[in-house]
Amino acid sequence: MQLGYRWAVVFGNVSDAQFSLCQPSLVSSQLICYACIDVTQHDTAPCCSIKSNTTAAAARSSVQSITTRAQLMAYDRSLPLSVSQAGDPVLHGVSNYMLPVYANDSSLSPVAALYFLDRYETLNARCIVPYRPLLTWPAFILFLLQWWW
Amino acid sequence: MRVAATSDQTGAVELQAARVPALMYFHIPLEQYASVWTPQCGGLNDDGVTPVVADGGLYAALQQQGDVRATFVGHDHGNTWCCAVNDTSTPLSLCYGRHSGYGGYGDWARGARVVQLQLLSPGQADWTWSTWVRLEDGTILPQ
Repeated sequence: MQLGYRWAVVFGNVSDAQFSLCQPSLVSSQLICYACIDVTQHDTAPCCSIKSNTTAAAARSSVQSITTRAQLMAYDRSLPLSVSQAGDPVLHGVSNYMLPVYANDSSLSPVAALYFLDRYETLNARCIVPYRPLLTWPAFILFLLQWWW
Repeated sequence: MRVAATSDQTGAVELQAARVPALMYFHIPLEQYASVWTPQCGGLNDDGVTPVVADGGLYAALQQQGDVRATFVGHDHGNTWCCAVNDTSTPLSLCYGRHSGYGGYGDWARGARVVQLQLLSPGQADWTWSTWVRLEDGTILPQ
């Protein structure tokens, strides 16, 4: 983030526990914010964990609030360099999405796709179809010209 | 490139290009991660593989569809390897990232996996990829 790189986030845990954000002084730091994710499924005590995992031995401190994954994703997407997307609400999870990747030339069609899956064990894999980008008309005309010649 | 016309229920016609090769990211490894490692995979193999119990058909979809060239997971902090599998119609690699957090278990040096795509020809959705790990201190580790 400090280097100005764009990033994308995908959540992933066995449990669907809520997250806890740290005290406000830490939350105000974007870099540390995600180091304060707690996924202790059955731990109702306020805590500040610095791991996004299912095992829960975690550094603890006071918390300001309980924050859901959806809220964390919304926060992530509010940051200027984030390219994260909210997942399809039909699917379980908050971060099931795909990002098209374009070449650094004037090409109008994506050259790659990046899939981000949240809780894929609960997904129906039939929902994950190969990405077939819709051709824009300029790209389609360009394609026709290339094909014709 | 192939162009096909399909109709949805509204009758609208969509023009679609051929599928785009892809990479896939998720947190917990697939079951296949547990049996793919060999010393040739490179990276660290300091941790167990703790996969999901059921993958919802994801791996079968990867095998069938063939557009995903590599999957990247975390979860097992001591693993950083990247292994090619041979039971798919198209090349597929099962990879870990690198322990990057400041609070997760383990004291492995923090870093991140970098993936670089190299287009085979301009404007075409076909590429090769390479990957390495960059540690927090700038050290570059192959694979």
